[in-house]
Parts: sequence; structure tokens; C-alpha cells
Amino acid sequence: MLIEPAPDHQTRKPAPGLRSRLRRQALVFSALFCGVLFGLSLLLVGWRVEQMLSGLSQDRTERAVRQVADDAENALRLGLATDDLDFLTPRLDALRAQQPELRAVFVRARDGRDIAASGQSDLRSRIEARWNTRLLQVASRSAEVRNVPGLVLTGGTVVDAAGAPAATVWAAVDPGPVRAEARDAALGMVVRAVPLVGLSFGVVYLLLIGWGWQTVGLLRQARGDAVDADSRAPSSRLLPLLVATLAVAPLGLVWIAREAARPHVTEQLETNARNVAVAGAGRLDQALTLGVPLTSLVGVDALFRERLAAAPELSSLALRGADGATVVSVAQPGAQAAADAAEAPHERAAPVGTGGAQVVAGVPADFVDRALGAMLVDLVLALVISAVLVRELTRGLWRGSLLYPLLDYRLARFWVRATRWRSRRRTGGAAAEDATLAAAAERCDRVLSADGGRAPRDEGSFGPQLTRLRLAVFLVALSDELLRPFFTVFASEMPAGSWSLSPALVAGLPVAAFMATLALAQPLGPALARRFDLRHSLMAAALLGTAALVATAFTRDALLLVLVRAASGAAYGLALILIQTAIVRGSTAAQRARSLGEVAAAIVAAGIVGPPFGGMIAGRVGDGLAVLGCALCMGAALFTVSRLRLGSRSAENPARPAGTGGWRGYAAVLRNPRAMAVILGSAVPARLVAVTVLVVVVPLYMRGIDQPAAIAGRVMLLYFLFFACTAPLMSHWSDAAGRRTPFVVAGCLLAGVACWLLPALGGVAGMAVCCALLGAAQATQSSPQLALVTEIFEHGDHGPHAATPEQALAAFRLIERVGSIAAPFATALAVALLGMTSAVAAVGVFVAAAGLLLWLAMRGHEAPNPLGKPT
Amino acid sequence: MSFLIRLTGALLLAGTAAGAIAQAAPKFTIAMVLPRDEQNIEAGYRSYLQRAGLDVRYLPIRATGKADDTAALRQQIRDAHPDLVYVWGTPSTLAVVGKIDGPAGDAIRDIPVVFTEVTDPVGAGLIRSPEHPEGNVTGVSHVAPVPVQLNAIRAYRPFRRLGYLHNPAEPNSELVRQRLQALAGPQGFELVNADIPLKTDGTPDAAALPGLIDGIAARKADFLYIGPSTFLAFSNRELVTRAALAAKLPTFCATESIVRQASCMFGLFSNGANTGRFAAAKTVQLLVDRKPVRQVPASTLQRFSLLVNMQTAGELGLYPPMLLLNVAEVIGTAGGAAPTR
Repeated sequence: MLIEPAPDHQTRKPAPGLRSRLRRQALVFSALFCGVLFGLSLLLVGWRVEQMLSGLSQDRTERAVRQVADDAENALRLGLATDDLDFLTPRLDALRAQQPELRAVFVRARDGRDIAASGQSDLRSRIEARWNTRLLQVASRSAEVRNVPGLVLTGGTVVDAAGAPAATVWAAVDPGPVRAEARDAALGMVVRAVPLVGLSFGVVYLLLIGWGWQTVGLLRQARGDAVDADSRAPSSRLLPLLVATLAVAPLGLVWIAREAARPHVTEQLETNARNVAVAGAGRLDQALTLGVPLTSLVGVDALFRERLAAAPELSSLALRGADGATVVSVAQPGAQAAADAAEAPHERAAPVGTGGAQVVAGVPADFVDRALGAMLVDLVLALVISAVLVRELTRGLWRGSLLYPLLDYRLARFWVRATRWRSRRRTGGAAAEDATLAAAAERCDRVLSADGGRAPRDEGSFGPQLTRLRLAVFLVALSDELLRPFFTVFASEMPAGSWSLSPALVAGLPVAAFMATLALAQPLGPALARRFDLRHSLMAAALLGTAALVATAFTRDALLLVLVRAASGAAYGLALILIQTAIVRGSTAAQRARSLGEVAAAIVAAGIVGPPFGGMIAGRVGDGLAVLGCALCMGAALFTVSRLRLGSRSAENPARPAGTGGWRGYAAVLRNPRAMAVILGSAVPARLVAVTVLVVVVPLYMRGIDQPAAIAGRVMLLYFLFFACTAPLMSHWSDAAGRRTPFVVAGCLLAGVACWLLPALGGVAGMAVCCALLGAAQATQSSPQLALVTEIFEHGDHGPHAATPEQALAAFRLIERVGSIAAPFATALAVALLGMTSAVAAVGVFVAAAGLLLWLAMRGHEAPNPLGKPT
Repeated sequence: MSFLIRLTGALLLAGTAAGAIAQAAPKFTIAMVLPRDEQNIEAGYRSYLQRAGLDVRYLPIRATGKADDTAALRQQIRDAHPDLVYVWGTPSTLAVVGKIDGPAGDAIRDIPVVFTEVTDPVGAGLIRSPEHPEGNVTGVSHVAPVPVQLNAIRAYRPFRRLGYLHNPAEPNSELVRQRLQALAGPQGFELVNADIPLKTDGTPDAAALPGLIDGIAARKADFLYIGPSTFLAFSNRELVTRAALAAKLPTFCATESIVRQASCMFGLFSNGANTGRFAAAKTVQLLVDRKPVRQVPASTLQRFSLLVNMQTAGELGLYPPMLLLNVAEVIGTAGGAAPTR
């Protein structure tokens, strides 16, 4: 027994039917957890399977487009003009006969005329002029892929003899058949996963019941009441088995997904193999037609090597004579010997000439296993992303349930234990934790003794409002994170009118405008909050953000896009600073760090969830509709903030006179040496190191070591996951300890260590450890540094020359952005002088040194102990 | 009703204005200086300008190639008052503009000149820098750069010894030999050179060619390289290629006609129509975009035509590799000239 609850609660008895309420709520949350988690996971897994099948189908289309473009280029090289390329029409017809999923193929001149075409002519209008222009501008050999509802458009460039882009080739593919296959696979997954979901549901239910009843027992023990056992609660001996079952269930889902996808992946692979064999046989036929005897064919191995390089999913290509003997055989580099590959079970052959010779394309028997194995990481990530999304979306429901105060009580017990363990060596802090535990126990008692299924509404508590604020932050941040995978391409294709801007600049300007107005909106937030109702200000910001995103979806001009993105940045910045202002106003000093930590955690959660879902939506419905999806998110944020119940300013802090917090307050922040020490010594370096590593170093370093973008994305995800896992712990610890500076300094030092580990370990492992540790480092210092800056002004002078905590927060956020802006330049300079890894180490030294200087500056100047004001 | 009248009036006015603009569209005069009749290169030049919407009046002017006629040629051009001069070949271009470092005299230096089929404009003294031509001359070279030619030969068959017939009477021949020699060391091949003897009148002796080719074959050359030499690739193309075939020596040629009209095994060069179109693109930059000549680089095409004579390849038993066949035009097949595309 850790603590005796307050005497007035000892007489409070649990309401009758507590057991059934607990079971009912356990039932609800088990169903919700399993249903939503498995549902979302299946959605993401199904999408990943569809991506894989589409990728294999897309490979065929891209090869076909490249083949047409090569034929056109050869013709131009031999003296034909662009307008003479109409001779390609029969070839396009033949191509469509070979690949039925091709609904249309066009060869389009620079001026937009279609020179050669095959298939549905009405599909020509689906290719937007800006896409064609971009193809002609970029003139790359790699294909451009566009998704519009009901069609996948693949474009390639034809270059004339002078090396100038002369035409484009577009293929319109109906993704319906592949999506139908993916649906079949997904249906197979759902059917097979039903028992698994049922099992998980049962296990979670039993665990929740057992845990809930155990907590009730602990509460009763604390009051000295008798404890009766719940017959339906699982025995403690069963607990490891249940937990193990729960851990195995997601892996089972992954295995089910793999097996459901197998036949469809195999079919796509075999179609690819057949097409490559047919194309190769066509080339050999052509040589035979030109008079080269089959036995005198030269360079067949080089031809096959070229074809295999373009079709990495195949294991081998072989030319077999009429007697079946292998004339030439080439294996994929890294694959088994050609002879072995020729005996692979999956083979597709195409005849050469009329003598019985064949080109045989082989698919390795283990390719499907390898491909699906490579998908495993993505499937596991899908589970993690789903879990994060479920956590964010059900937080409000959870907080209103019977289980939430029970969990709060258990956490309070944990922190009391932790504080007492620390108190063996140092005094202080335990009293506050005891008070927190008493408060948690009191809440539990209130809930347990209440009639009905839900906890009684605590009008005075800030908790429910914090939950809504966090959801609002998540939705606001999600509206921007969903854009991340496709916005650069979307922006770069905007026509710049008479402005002669490069696509890179056209893409960069809206981003710069967004960042600039986001930063500039920070000082505006407290001013708005002072003059207007906070909830109304928040609603106005969300409304502006929604309107700006809707406008973005329909914008077709680069300059206009810059303007609407600037409006989006202002709305995003205002929404975030106003929410933080609301938190600073509503939370007590004792919970300041963990309350502000909710903002960072919600933004990080959006960072984890947004990009994969954004990519999925844009891939399915196209960029424009995906932006509307982002607007929908912002609209949901608007709805959420409209349901906030925020008290008036004077009611929240009557101690602060109305005259406090004018624009001169910002000057007070700038004049305060401790505040500036925290901002310049910790916040700015923290932003610098985060932007340096995540935005600059990870993509370049991973590309430098020949790692694909997907691996770079996974490595970056580690940063967010570690941040999300560490931040609540650190902010609670900081609040519990009543200390800020040690956490801020520790975060700086940890960030320094993270940076040094990259050159020390190197490779993917080094980068992964660096990102993970950096996430933990930033989580350690993030909330404490915010709390520290606001607390400096919490108990200071009040008057027109004094700053409010809200202004301190706004100034902090504004100056912090300097680190983001400076980071690319500082990194470029450091990389130019020192090289990539040494530059990261140098940034690490800088961050660590800044942290040590901050420690020296703050010695003896820690803000007043917030634990003097327990909740 | 009044609105209808106003609308009709406005449309009529607009139509009249459009007609006036169309009439005011500039009409250009281009002097076509050629030592021969127009061929596919000029057809490419004209068709490009036509498709670009230019209204052009072409004034054909014959270049005789004789030094005595140079002054008359220049006067004839001046009398035509052209906006631009199109000129084919190195001698004709030199006759029109003279060497850039030479005395200007009556050379055409005040009218933009676009040349085609000049092998080496810098070596010929027409310009100092291809990237930024200083005077009034720019244009298109037709010969693929020597390293690109060597890559094409290597793509057909790897080689260690490259035969070369040097004609001392042609400055271009020495230039090409020097380039091949410079590349021989770095690229790991040996240049097997044979100088064509000169007759008493200073002209090369064609009768010596079979013997020289036999000698090159005897020295185990893998290929005979035939550059853009008028003597070898035009005047004596049949003799040269037949002699090589007899000596079982595969031939590579830097010009088109020796492959098409004689028995050269394969060649890499700029297609004539493409060269003409590229020259026309430069003409558009000068006349329509009003770019100064120094901003219109003298250049060669980036993509070249590969032509394979399958009959010669068959006789030598040296069929082209598949990857070359994919991009080549093939002639001399059993069914006659049968281009692959």
C-alpha cells in the first residue's frame, strides 16, 4: 500500500454493477482496439499489396512506353521528322494487343498534337498540358507516372537527333484489373484474419478485465476494504500466455497478408516474364529477317543483359534451339547460374522465327518469397502507423471511460514508486507525487461510485479540453503531413505564367511562403488571443486553413499557389500557437511540460501517420482530390475546436492584469537573459540539428551509400517513433522532478552523441541509430524547454512592459524557426568544408557545446519549483 | 440589335487587324550557297522553316569552288540583299566568309551565315570557338566526334589495331589522324597508318590504294577507318571498299554515301535531313528570336545514324551485334535495301 486516500473518500462505495460496467467498457475498447487496429492495418496492408501488384504491372507499362520512345528516337535519328512518327500507329496497336490493360497509347508532339495513337481517343484529354510540359522540360529517360481516377497515365520523352525533346509517349492503363486482384487478396486476408481478430479481441478483453479489476482491488486495498475476485478475470499465470498471444497476432496478420498476396504476385510476375520473352524474341526475329542466321547471331547475351537490367524481377533469359538445347543463357546478376535458373519452375517462352527456337524468361522460384519478405517491414510499419492513428483518434473516448482513471491511478503509483526510489538519494518531489496519486485515487473513487456507464463530467478539469486540443493539433498537423509525399511534384508542375522560373523554384516558393508565414504568425497568436475569444480565434484560423487548402486543390497557377500556401502557413502557425496558448492558460505549472508535450506528440503522430496515408490517397484519386482530403482534415480540426470549452482569459489567471502582454512584452522576452539563453542555447540548436539530419543529411547520405528512398523513409520514421515513445515519459519526469534545465541540457548532449554516432558507426545502422537517438534527445528537451521559458514569465512582473507566458511561447516559436531557416545553409557550409559525416559530427559538437553553455548560464536560476502547486 | 451591330463591327475590325498583322509578318530572304543541286539536307532545312511558319524566299547561288570565282560569289550574295546566308561545305563557307583570322576584304562579315557539313569549323579557320562564334558565322558539323565513332566501332567488335589511310593532300586527313593518334594510347589501341603516295602533280595516287590496304590487313588491323575524306570516301569509295573486302578487312566509315553507294561495312554519321533541320533551328534563332550569332553555338548533332551494309557484313561473316541492330538502319539484305524501320 502506497498511500491512504483522503478520509472523505473512504466512505465512498463503489456503485452497484461496477463489474458489469467494467466488462462493458472492456468489451467496447477491446472491440474498438481490435476492429480499428486490424481494420486500418488491413487497409494499409491491402494498399501495400496493391502497390506491389501495381508496381509489377507498372514495370510492364514503363518498358512498353520506353520501347515506343526508343523506336521513335531511332526513327528521328535516321532522318524522319516528328510528324513522320505516324508510322508508329501499327506498333501501338500491336502493343495494345499484347498488353490488354493498355487502354490507349499516344505519341504527342511538342505542340500537343497527337501524331500516332491507338485505343480510346477520349482518354487523350485526360493528360493535362502541364504534365506534358514537364516531361518535355525534364527530358529524362525515366517515366513519369500520373494517377487520375480510373486511370494510370505513364509518360516518356522522345529526344530528337539534336538531343532536344521532340515528343512524348503516353500510355493510359486501366488499373481496374490489378485493383480487383488486390481486392481479392485483401478479401482473402480479411477472411483469414477473422479468427485472429476474434482471438485478439478475446485476449484484449480478458486483459482489460483482469487489469481493471486488479486496479480496483488495489484501490480497495489502499482503503483497507475487502477484495473479491472476479471469476472472469484471467489468472495471473495465464498473463504471459495472453500477452504472447497478443504479440503474435499482428505477426500472424502479416503472414496472412503474405500468403494471400502470393498467387496474385506470381501471376503478375509471369505476365512480366512473358512480355519480356516476347519482346526479346521480336528483336531476334528482326535480325533473322535481316539475313543474320540464327547460329551467327552476335551479342544476344548483351541484349539479354540489357533486358534483364530493365526487368530485375526476372532471373534469366535464354535462347533455346529447336532441339531444346540452350544456345545463349544470361542470368540476373546475383542470381544463381543461368543453367539453374533455366530449370526454375516459373518460365515463360516466346517463339523465335519458324524453326522452333524460343526465348525463355525465367522467374526464380523464390522471388515471390523474397518480394513478399521485403514487404514484411512495410507490413510491420503499417501496424505501427495504425496503432498511432487509433491512439490519436480514440483518445477522447478513452478519457471518458472508466478505464482511463484506473490507468491514471496505476501510472501515479508507478511515479510514486519511481520518486521514492530517487528520494533515497535526494529529497523532494515525493510529496507532490503522493498528492498526484491521491488525486488519481479520488478521481477513480468518483468514477467507480458514479451511476451509469461513463465517468462523471468534471467541468473544472482541463483534461477533456487538453484531449480536444491534442486532437485539433493532430488534425491540423495531419492536414499538412498528408501533403508531404506529393506536394513538391504538385507544385513544380504549376504553370509560372510569364515568370521564367525553374520547376525546382516553382516547387520551392510555396514551401518557403508556408514556412515564412508560419513563423510570422507566432507573435500574432497571443495578440489575437488577448483581444478576441480564444475559441473563436482558433475557429477562424482553422476556417482560414480549410479555405486555403480547398483553394490549393483548385489552383493552377504558381503565383496563386504561393499565395494560398502562405495563407495555409499563417493558418497552421496561428492554430498551433493558439492551441499552445490555450494549454499554457489552462494547465497548471505542475503539468506544464506534459501538457505542452501533448502538442509535440500530436505533431509527431501526424508525422508518422500522414505521409503513408497521403501517398495512398494521392495514388488513388490524384493530387487535386488528395489536397481536398487535407482540407477535410483541417475542417475536422475546425469542428474539434468548435467543441472546446475554454474559459475567459481573466477567469483562467485572475492574477494577471489586463494590461499585461502588449507588443512590448516581446521586447521583455528578448531582454530576459535566461529566456534568451534557453531559446538560443537549446531551441535554435535543436531545430538546427533536427533539420540538418532529417531534411538534408538522411536523404543525401542514404543516396550516397546507394540506399533507396524507402529505406531513407524508414530510417527517418525511427526519429518520430522514438520521439513519440520518449516524449510523454520525459515530460512527466520533468514535471515530477520539478526540474527543466537538466532535461534541456541532457537533450542537447544526447543530440550531440546521436550526431557523433553517425561517423562512428556509419552505414544504414549508423544513420538509424543517429535518428533514433536524436528522436529521444529531442523528446527529452522539447517540453521542458517550452515549460522553462513560459515559467520564467509566470511569476514575473505584470504590466505593459512585462511579457506573458503566451508571449514567451510565441517568441520562442518564432526565434526557434531561425534554426530551421539557418540549418540548410549551415549544413551546406559544413558539408562543403568537412564532408557529410564530419559535418554531422560538427553540428553535434555545436549542439552539445550550446547545451553545456546553457547549463552554466542557468546554474542557480532554475524557475520556481512548479510542484508547489500540485493539481 | 445595337449590341449585334457593335459585335459585328468589332469582329470585322478584329478581322481586318489580324489580316494586317498577317500581311506585316516578316518575309525573310535566304541565300542558298551550294556547290551542287539541293539534296536531302536542304530539304530538311526548308521543311523545318516551313513548319516553323517562316515565310522565306530562297535565292540559290552556285559556288564553283574555284578561287577565281570567290569575289563574284560574294558580290552575287551582296546583290541579293539576303537576311541570312545558308552555305554547304567547308570550301564554299571559306569562299563566302574567308578565314576569321585572315583579312576581311570583301568577305561577307555583315550578314549572318549558317553553314552545314563543315567537318571542323575551328580547324578550317571559320570560327575560333564553337560555343561562342565571334563573327557572323555559325552552323552545324556533320561528322560524329572521333571518340563517338570509336565507341561505335568497339560496339561492333572490340579492336586492338585500327587501320588508317592518310591522304597528305587533304588537311582534314592529318587532323583526323592526329585525333586518332591522341586517343590510341588512352583507349588502348594501335593506329596502323599508311600514307597514300602523291603523284608528281601533288594529287594522291589511287592506284596505290589496294596495296596499301593489303599492307594494313597484313599488319593485322581489326578495322579500316575511312574518315570524311573526299578522295577516299567519295572519289575512290568503290575501289577502297572492294580492296578492303578482298583483304577481309572490315571497314568503318564516317560518311554516309560510302556505305550506301559502295561496300563499306558500317558507318556512323549525321543524317542529312537532321543536319538540315538543326541548321534551320539555328536560322530561326537568328532571324526570329533575333539572337546575336555569338549566342548561337556552332555544334554537331547529339544523336547519329548508324548504317550497316548487311551484304558486306555477310561476306565477311561479321554480323552486327543485336544491340547495334536495334538502333541501326540496315541495307544490303537479301530482299534489297531493307531499312530496319
